Amino acid sequence: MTIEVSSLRKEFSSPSGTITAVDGIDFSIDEGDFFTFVGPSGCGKTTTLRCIAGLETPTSGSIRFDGEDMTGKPAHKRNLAMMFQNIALYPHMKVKENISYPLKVRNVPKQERYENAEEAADIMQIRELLEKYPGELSGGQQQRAALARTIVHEPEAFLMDEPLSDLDAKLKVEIRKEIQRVHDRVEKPTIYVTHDQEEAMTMSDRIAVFNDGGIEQIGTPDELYQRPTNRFVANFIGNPSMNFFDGTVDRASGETVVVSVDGRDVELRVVDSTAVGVGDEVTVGVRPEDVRLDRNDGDLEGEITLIERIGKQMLATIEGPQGEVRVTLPADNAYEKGEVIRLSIETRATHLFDSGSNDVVTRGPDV
Amino acid sequence: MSTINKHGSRARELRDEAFEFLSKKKVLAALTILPPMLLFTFVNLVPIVGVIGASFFSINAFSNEWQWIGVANFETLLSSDSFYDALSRSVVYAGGSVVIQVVFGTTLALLLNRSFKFVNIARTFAILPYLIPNAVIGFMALWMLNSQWGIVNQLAVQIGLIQGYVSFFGSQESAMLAAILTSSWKDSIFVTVMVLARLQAIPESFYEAAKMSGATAYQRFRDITLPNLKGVFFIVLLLRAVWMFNTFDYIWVLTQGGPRGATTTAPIYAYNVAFGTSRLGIAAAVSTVLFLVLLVAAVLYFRIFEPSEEVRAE
Repeated sequence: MTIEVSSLRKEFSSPSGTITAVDGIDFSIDEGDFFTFVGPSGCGKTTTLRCIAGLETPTSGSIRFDGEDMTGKPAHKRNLAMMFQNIALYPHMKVKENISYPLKVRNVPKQERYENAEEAADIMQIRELLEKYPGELSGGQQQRAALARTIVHEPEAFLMDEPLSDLDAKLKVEIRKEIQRVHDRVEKPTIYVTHDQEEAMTMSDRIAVFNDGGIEQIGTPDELYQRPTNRFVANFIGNPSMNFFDGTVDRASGETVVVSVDGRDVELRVVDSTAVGVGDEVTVGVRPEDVRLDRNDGDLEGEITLIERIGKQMLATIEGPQGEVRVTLPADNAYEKGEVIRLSIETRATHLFDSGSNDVVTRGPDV
Repeated sequence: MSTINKHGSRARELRDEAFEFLSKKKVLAALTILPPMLLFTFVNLVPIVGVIGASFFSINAFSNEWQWIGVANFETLLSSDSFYDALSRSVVYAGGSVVIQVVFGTTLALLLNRSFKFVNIARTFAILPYLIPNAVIGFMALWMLNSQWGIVNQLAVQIGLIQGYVSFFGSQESAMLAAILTSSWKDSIFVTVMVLARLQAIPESFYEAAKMSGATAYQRFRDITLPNLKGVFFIVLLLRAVWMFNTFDYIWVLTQGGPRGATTTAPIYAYNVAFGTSRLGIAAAVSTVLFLVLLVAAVLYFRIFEPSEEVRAE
């Protein structure tokens, strides 16, 4: 099944006036796509998912499944399976009844229902929990049961509304794998909502980055990471997040752009220098791994205010006149907190954004 | 300066000592449990024991002479047809009331649980009758159902429901039904309040999950709403049945047990025996038997329906 959403708009009325949760968005999802909505809270991603589910009625716009208009169709006739953040297993039903509920409403005989539930429970490795009540299960087991419920449903598409955000980090990774396993088995589109960019980057075929009721960019994880079309996406995708320096274009010719950042000239290689003109206000974006530290040599200067471990590497935070800069370092570096240090930017790996519109204008050849 | 300090610390010491004393387990237990215990003892326990004791005596209402006669009162009672009649009328009255109250009260709760404009005003109006005293409800019903100028008769004739004016409380056929309907008018609201509270505690996400599973409105009601109401139904049925079985006020205001005994339920019967015939011992025996009947019924009810199983839904 393919899902097409066009000009979708959803307003809520509140005592203080109308709130626009989703402000005219368009996208389409192909058969078998793992499609993720990612964005900060309140950006409209969950509302969009609920409109697709049929749990909210769009104010305007349309939702089509395989070309057929579903906009006004009630949720229970759309044949979609959904996982919720709060899990939403029925506490008065045993796990096997919960899992087989989508079959019960289709009047499938009990025997067959429970056989299906057992099969799904086997896939989720929770067979021994079938006779228990949800209240007796841990959070991870409950979410496995909820996932099993979507399996027996055999829906046209899977909708997942932040299903992992209440689980601890280890369980998250575990259930994430299970969700992908289910997705790969069935060749149906999955829409996954999360505020966690790392979750989005590891699971998705394609990602839509939401912000303030709109979509900033849609693309594969690689596209979003390497070629963000605007500053919001560049900042949101990637952890630790990108550094930004405000400056003015001094010179632009051939493959070279020279940007004056806080009075110092920084020379950058770009794919298209004609995209900028001398005097343009630009923002230079560079990822923490593309900034180098040196005690003597570099374009910019600052003081190390924090060094913290992130996995195998260290992350240094440097305060300077150009603002805060994050730099990743090998774990065996000799730098210390409080040192004044010089920074140099990997000149071939920067993104240049228009400071007014925040849209990308050009980027280095090696991003 | 130093004296103030001394006074200050003395006061603090006293306060600390008082706090220490009050925090002692036994003192705290006594202070919190004793008042309700005393109340329970004198308002419930003493009268209950007194009545059970009195049922073994022949008591003269005017001279306070108690004469031990063993189980003679019970023998008299259990061999009298009028007692069994009263008992069965109580069952009819309680059973009929409970059915109507649960059905009507639940329906009203389901309606008030929907969200619509002015839902809070609607809820207020629905719950308003519960604030009116039973006796007032009784008198209102008497006038509304009056056989000569009652508004119910007038409307029923106008819309062609009945041919002529009916004496609802005056005929043996309709008096019991009229009494049941009158008492249910107000007491259904009790069911409404309890059920509505439970309905509002059912998370919306259950309904959303069921919708996504493909459940129709009826299936959602059957599989989510009803199972979640089981617990409240269990307690409401018991409470309403016991209350209605013991109800005196409505019936006394409406019919005083008439016409010709058609609404003489067990409590009315006990009252008549006690104050009509002044046989206090037998009246006490009636109350004792009613107490035992309810006790046995309640125990059986708990045994059969196993509330521990229902609690899981909470």
